[in-house]
Amino acid sequence: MNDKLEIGDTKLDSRLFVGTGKFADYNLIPKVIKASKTQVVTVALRRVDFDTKGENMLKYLPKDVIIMPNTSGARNATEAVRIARIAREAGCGNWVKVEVITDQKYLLPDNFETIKAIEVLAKEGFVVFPYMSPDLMAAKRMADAGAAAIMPLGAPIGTNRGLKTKELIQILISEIDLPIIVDAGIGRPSEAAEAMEMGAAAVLVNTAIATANNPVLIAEAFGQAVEAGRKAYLAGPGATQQVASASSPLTGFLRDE
Amino acid sequence: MLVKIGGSVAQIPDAMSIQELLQTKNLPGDGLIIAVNGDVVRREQWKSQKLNPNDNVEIIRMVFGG
Repeated sequence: MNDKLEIGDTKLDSRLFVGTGKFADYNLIPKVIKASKTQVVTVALRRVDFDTKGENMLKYLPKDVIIMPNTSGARNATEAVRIARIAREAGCGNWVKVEVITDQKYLLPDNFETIKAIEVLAKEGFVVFPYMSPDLMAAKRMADAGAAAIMPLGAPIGTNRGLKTKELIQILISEIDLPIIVDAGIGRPSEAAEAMEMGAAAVLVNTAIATANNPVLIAEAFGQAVEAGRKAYLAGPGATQQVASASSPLTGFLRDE
Repeated sequence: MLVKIGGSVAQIPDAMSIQELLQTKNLPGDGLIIAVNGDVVRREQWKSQKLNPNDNVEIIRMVFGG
């Protein structure tokens, strides 16, 4: 089946994006990437801490995956733009996930500042993926500002609560002429499949994989769920109805009626 | 001279290069991004670019994240 996710000049076979945070053991990350078949992973930028120094994490990432830095830590558009520019200098391409967050309890994104950041970054040639609260008007502004896709949240980051914003995301899918990528909140493969069945172009999963008892196995399950959901969407599921409709012929041969 | 490194004031020798600063901090350059006063300094310039008093140096690396 020739069903690729096209973003700019890039064509992706996998519709699962994977976040790399929260893994207890970095050695799991390449295994998760392989098992999930993802082609896009997110990373973040941080100041070097002279006490721990850290290591170059690029060695854990296969060469053929697209590395999408996020702007986590940005509290306004200016900071998001600065982080994106620095990330591009790291030489990992021009994809960026813009997230601007000031709300520390629910980590809900600031759609207004995000729109401002997109306006600047899109003009500078970035392929911009805004993390956003699902709101149609904000999504339209983001599209006008030059976003490459829209990434509405299903539930607050890291909650594993599923598609709490389902109906609002559905509106974005129907009204916005850009790929809608559900980011945040998806906790189970069934929820990833549900998002894909309703027409999401892709999903981004991090916590649900990183915090599972067996991250590699659930990564594989997420990959399969995304594929299954996508195929169901393309197939066009049958209609629902209230009363039963027999799947087997009811014509009896035991009785004469 | 005094500069800011990662938000904290630090005393370093006059006209120290970025390369020398990383060496004194015992930081391999691998995977690092350096910004001085908000502008990224390309790796090729780490040897030649000398720091000035009151420069604001950020040493950044990629980390795992969502």
